[in-house]
Amino acid sequence: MSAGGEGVLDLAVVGAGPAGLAAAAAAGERGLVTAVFDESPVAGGRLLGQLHPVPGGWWVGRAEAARLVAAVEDRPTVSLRLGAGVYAAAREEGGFRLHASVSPTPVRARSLLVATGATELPVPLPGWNLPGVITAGAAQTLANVWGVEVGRRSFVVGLSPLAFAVALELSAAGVPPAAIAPPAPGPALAHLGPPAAQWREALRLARLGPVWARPGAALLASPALRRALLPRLPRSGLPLLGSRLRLNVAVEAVVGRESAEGVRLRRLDGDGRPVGPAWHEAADAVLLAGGLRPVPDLLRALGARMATVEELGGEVPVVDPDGATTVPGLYAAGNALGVEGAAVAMAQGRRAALAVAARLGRADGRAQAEARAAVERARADAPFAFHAGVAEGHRRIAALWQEGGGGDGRAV
Amino acid sequence: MASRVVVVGGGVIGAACTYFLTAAGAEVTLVEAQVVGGGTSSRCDGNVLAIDKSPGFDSQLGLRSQKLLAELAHVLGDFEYRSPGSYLVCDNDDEVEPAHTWTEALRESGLPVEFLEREEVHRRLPDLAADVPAGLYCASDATLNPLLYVQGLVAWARERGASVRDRSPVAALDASDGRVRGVVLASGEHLAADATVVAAGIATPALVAPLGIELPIRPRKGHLIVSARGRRFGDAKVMEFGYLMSKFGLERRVPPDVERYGVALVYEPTRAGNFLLGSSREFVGEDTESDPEVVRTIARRALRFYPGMRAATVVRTYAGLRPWTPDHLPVVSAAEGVPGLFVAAGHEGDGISLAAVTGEIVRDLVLGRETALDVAPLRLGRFGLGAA
Amino acid sequence: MSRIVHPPSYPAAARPPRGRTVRFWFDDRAYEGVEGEPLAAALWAAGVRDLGRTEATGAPRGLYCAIGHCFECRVRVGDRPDRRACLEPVREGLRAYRQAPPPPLASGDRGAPA
Repeated sequence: MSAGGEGVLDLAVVGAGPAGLAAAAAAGERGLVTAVFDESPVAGGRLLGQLHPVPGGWWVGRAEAARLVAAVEDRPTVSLRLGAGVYAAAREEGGFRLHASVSPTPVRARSLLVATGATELPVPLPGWNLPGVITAGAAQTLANVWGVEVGRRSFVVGLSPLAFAVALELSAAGVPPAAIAPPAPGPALAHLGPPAAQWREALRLARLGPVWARPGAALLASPALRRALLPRLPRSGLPLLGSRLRLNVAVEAVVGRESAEGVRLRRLDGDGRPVGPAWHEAADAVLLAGGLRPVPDLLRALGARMATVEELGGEVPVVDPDGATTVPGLYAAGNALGVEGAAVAMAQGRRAALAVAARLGRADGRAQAEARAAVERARADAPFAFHAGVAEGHRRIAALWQEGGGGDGRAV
Repeated sequence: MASRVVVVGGGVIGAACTYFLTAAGAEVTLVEAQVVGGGTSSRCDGNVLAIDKSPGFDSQLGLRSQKLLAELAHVLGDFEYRSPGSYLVCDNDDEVEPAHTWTEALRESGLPVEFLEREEVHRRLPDLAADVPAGLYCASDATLNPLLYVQGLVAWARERGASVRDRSPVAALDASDGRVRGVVLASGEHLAADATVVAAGIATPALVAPLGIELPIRPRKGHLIVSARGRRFGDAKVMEFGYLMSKFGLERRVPPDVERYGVALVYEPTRAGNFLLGSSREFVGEDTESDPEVVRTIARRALRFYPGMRAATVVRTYAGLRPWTPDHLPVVSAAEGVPGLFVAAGHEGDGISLAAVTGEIVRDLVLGRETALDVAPLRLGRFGLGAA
Repeated sequence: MSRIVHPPSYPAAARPPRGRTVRFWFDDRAYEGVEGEPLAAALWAAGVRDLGRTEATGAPRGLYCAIGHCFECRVRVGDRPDRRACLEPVREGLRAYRQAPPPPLASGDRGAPA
């Protein structure tokens, strides 16, 4: 039996990334009639462009995605609707009504899982809208998913974890970026924090970095040492991941007439303030790495209670231990719950699917408890956290859930 | 001696009242619950029409407002005011005779309206579907950007001493001994006034009800589609003649969903280079969520008249709540029996068009001057539900 | 720009699958791409990064987010405007075009055209 357009689905999933696909596979295992929607013609979400070294080899997102898609396609009650963007959703008696770009009629579902992921924070430097300026995530997509060389001399602007992840991936592919440097402070960049705050963020990754990184991190952590030593470091930066990490310069602007041709730089003093005259360096691609924030839109539109939690990356839904929101039948999983990683996203997807199945009497308390524990394990095993204090962020959400009288979360 | 006036409601009506009163020397405080121009006035198209006004009073009101607006366009900063005229187009042969009648009636009122035979309407509007049998054109009709208009009125008044209290909801009118002496804000603060003008659109009935006034203003929801900038389909405003039938509750020959949602084509190109598409009419309480079913009906109706619009891109949609009255005329009036209280609300879909003349009338009523028009048709008391 | 030639150390499972080469047109010039890859990727590989002009100022614009969020990469595909080149799969014979700013409003308006 396939999930046709006529009947009411048990579960509609918005987003065919790791969370959405894992949820659909788990739902399919329990025979729930499920459909997954994604506006991309390709399934896998951000998994497709991710890879990182693990002891003994590589973790390859593309392979994980293929595994998940196969698991989904294996389930007769699950359908994958690609190239179908969900542009509107509303609550109705007994569930939800979704409007998707390829369906002439609305899709109806008893439960809805929003797994729409995250979006990148802007780095609005002068010249940032020239062709050739893309986000770090876009570089990851071009290079890792489609095998396209981003530039002969690409410049990463920003010190978020995504900056380093992309540098590592491009380096593995033999096309490392020429440099990684912070953006200069400016009125449109206040949300990124000043360079000193960005340095601190970058430090969290130091333990994953090369040999000089840990003492380097200690140096940056002390304002006095920073002021004394940072200006003495070479302007051309230190070798990292095949690129050059240039902490004591800042990018003020992208320059070019019809497309990106270079960047304008200034020195930073030990307190992260631009000093001295500016100069230009050539760059044929500029990769903006401002960081990630969850995408709240569909959840907000459906009336879920939301909260802004910095440790989770921004605005997230207030949820119960299964990821159920304050709207009965509406769940969230993946980066939409808080920016973490693919492993956590997959575990959250499964957890939500099991909660939906339990509501329909197709899963027991033991399976649900296991699914919740799996999320905690995935979080504990993650090589690093995208934002510091993620666990604290989730505790804050749990407290908000309790305060709001969410109670056991299953009350309608 | 300057009159102290409190105007409740920072939409287009309240903004116009503030402008005219300030220009006449009154000391005005404009009180707005949220953001100036952010209520129903933020969900409007920019129509300033005479072509859709019933001959007689309705039309006189509209014309006077158009005249005042043309003057405001010189006084305020740029609010994208332009007057390319507007068209009404007929859907089928049944509408041709009524369209003739309408044209004659408007011409008798002195409007520059022409009836357009089939060939002429297609010459002027080449993108129109081939089977449209006739239309009419009114040369004096205008359009503007509602947000800039409201902001312009308020900014002008502010520069000349008016005070604006936004994010300040009014809890109640301050009434004692049968007179209104100002307002009480939700914060508890009292604002005293010699005259209080309630221009709060759909929120007006709740504010005046404690005084025993039953104001029959109901929210009538309307949707708009905003297109991306790209191909346009003519630079003048076009509506279907059926728009008038819908407004006045007359019969049209249309598909069931068009009837159900009160849909009638309104095409409005903007100076920004895109166009707005409307319109719909429903009584569904105070919900302003965009209903995809209604939006699709509006889009399908637009395609009936502009088949080439099939490829146009919708950027977003929004819905607003028109303050409807049973006779489709606003209430612009002193509250009979309640000294100190004035009401300026109930403009339904004509708020943008009639704000200017409303502001002028309110000024005259508050300052005790003779009004330019006979305003009996706009009296609060006409519903027979005035204060005890 | 061009296609990445991966070093032998790059994990095989991460290499993009080799697909069929197809021919497509952008502003009436012929290009080659891999069937199914996004139009924006095929054009970037061919050295084409400006995908249109912004309607507001006429300045050149190109790919930015590559995930369908920003709409900077909008192009006309066939007779359909505003298609996101980062999501539109390349196929044999596809014809796409840069979009130009619309002409200003005709006279009869008081203000200067946008």
